[in-house]
Amino acid sequence: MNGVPMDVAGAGPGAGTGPGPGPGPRVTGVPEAGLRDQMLFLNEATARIGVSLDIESVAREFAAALVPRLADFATVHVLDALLAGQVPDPQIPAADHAAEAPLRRIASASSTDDPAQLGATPEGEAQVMQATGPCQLAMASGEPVLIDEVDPELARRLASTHPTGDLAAILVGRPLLAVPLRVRGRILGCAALIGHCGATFDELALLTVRQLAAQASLGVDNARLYHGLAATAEALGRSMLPTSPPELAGVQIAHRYLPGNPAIGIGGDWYDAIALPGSRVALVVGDVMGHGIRSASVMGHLRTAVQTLAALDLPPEQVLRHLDDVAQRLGDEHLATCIYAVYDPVARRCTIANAGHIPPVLVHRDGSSRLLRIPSGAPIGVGGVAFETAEIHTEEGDLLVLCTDGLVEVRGQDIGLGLAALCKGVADADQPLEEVCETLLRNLNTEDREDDVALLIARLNGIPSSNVAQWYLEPAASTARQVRRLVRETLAQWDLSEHSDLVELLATELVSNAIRYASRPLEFRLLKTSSLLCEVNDDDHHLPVLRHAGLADEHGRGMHLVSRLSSRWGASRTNSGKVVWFELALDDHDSPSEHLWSNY
Amino acid sequence: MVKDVNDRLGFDAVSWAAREADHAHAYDAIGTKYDQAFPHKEGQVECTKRLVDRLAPGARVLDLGCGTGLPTARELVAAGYRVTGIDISPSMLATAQQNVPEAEFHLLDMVDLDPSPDQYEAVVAFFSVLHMPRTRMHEVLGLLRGILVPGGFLALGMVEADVDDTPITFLGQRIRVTGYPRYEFRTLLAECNFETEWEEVRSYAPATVQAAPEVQIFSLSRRVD
Repeated sequence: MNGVPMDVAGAGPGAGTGPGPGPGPRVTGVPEAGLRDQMLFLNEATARIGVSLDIESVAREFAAALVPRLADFATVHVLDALLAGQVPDPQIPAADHAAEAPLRRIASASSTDDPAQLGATPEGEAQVMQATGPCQLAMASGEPVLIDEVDPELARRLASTHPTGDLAAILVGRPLLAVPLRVRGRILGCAALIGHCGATFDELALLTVRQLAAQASLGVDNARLYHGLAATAEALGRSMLPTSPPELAGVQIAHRYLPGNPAIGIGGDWYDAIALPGSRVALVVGDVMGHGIRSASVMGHLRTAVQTLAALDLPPEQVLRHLDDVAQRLGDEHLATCIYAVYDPVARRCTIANAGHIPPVLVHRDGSSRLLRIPSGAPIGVGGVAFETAEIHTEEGDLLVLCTDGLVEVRGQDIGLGLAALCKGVADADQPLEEVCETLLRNLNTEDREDDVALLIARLNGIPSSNVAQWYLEPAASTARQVRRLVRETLAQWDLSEHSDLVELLATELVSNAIRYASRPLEFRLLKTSSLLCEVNDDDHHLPVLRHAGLADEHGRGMHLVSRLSSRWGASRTNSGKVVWFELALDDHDSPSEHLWSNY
Repeated sequence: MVKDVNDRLGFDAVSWAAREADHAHAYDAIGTKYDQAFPHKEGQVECTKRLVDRLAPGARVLDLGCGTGLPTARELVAAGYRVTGIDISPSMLATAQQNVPEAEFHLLDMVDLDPSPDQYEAVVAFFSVLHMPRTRMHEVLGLLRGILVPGGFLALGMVEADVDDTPITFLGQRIRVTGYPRYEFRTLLAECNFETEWEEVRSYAPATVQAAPEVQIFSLSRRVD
């Protein structure tokens, strides 16, 4: 072992006080006369290294500063765990645990552009350092390790753990300096410098490298902290907004969210698409007043409240009224604008209520479009203002565009101009929906905006009325029998007779439950899309639960049957009672229900 | 005579009048909203066409619950029939009068129809008989049979359901409706001595969220003796 940890501060008198003149050989490095030049160099290099908040850029600037002034060849390595966003262990990786702390070479610079050199040390490669090599030693001790001349034996040893190129040939006969990257008590990685054959690194060079390394360490750690914070905010943001739109019959949905401050990654804007009974869908876009984390947390509250209210299947104006109540109870700062729209693909109608939000746009397939000037109530949280629901007729393939003002508002410009641009922003309503989103964002030039942008576009395809059948049925002992006959005849009309036995059985269970408590007529509905939906609405508010039926129990087995034999089932409250439904997949003949049913 | 029937079936004339006034009021309020909510009446048009195929021009046709007169009274006049329309809603009738000036319109409840025999070659009743409670359904169908000539036609439009005189909210108004499943409806017609010649069941989604999708039954039947 000819490399020893060096303590520069202890290397000689005055050595730790600055890059002044000092004793010792001075072959590679900076001439004494160049003090001014040295200061300029340090100034410039530290500035460049410090400018970025990206770990790789910091490392590249560091390597670029080292070569060619201080070394012929330099590589910068950081702990792989660091790049994966993990907090590095404050324990310095011990030499014998080297394998557990792989490093990744994130910067590599050479004064000669020698392909052999660069090829031996490609950027981005992971590597475990030789356990007794200078790099590992430098990281273990926290101090630089200098080897005045790498002998063939050391070169061979170092190359033995090096996966690419002929490292030994590059190292033999040259001085090697390994510097740890260390900050705030943690080792982040190291840099390896290779000098000229027959020269070595003098004290000034060493001091300079240490200073640059300290600067680079600080930069890497700041970048790490920053990205950690940004990742936290982004994860928070992601968890607060829906990731992918639901797949629904009769309507297609796409959405985008662009944070006004990408560093935080989340703001007060939100959007939602919520499936409702009867294959309807609630579309929501809202905008909490203010920016940043505080409005993001208010947004989280309001979004949850809207989800909860939507599940009650209230008319839009009532959803907003209740949301207004909730917001006032939550606190003074809970102010937001919001659009709540419900699309009924069977009636091909949208019912929309607005709480002070910018109006939605309806784009027809012929490219024409219009702002839906629906009555706009006061923002959510103001209180005491009535909301109104407007009913909008839609055609097959219309696009409903809901967005927040970040998309249309340009500072110092009338919002009317932005809204007009929004209307013209969709050139081709038949484009794939994701492309429509992209085109719209591009056309409205969202590059230099400061506000959040939430965008939700729904293609309103509708469901042909011939695929829907709905009946009012007085609750009576004979109702289940009537339902079985209606199912049989309707499925025969729809060419789905093969499913008739199963649907009759399960519908009987739903209807038998309903007639026990209902006092008003049930609504029984069949709906054919890619699946077959069967729904029973009644005026009793108690939702069915899956429970264990004892040997002596008369009831309690029906919903188990529905649960086992249908593809999906569910129950939710409505404003007049509840709806219980089940669905059978129609295109998948290998569904578990088919198998189960074939056993009966 | 009508009063006697009411007594027998448990409706006194006063409560029936109040009920029909409510219905009239509801349809006055609905007015032209009805045609907006139910714009595509293909089933009704098809059923009328089937009648026109079978009925000679000049025939006397009663349009029971004629509403705005569109499209049925209009089509019947165009086919060359002598059309009489009745409805309980003055506002609907006024619209019908404008839409179809060639026809004769009366403000009249179907239960109060003049029961004299052989008045009409055909009666059409689209979504009007469904306002009768089941207890009066036989009576009303019997009355319609009575005013038809032997072999006369009855064209009906019903909403398939299993309800009897049930209040529902329809286009924002409370009305009472009665419905039968298709097979029970066929039985009802047979019991009232009508023979079904043509029937069609179709799903219909109103162009509004204020009325639910429904399954409609159209049937064309003949008085049998």
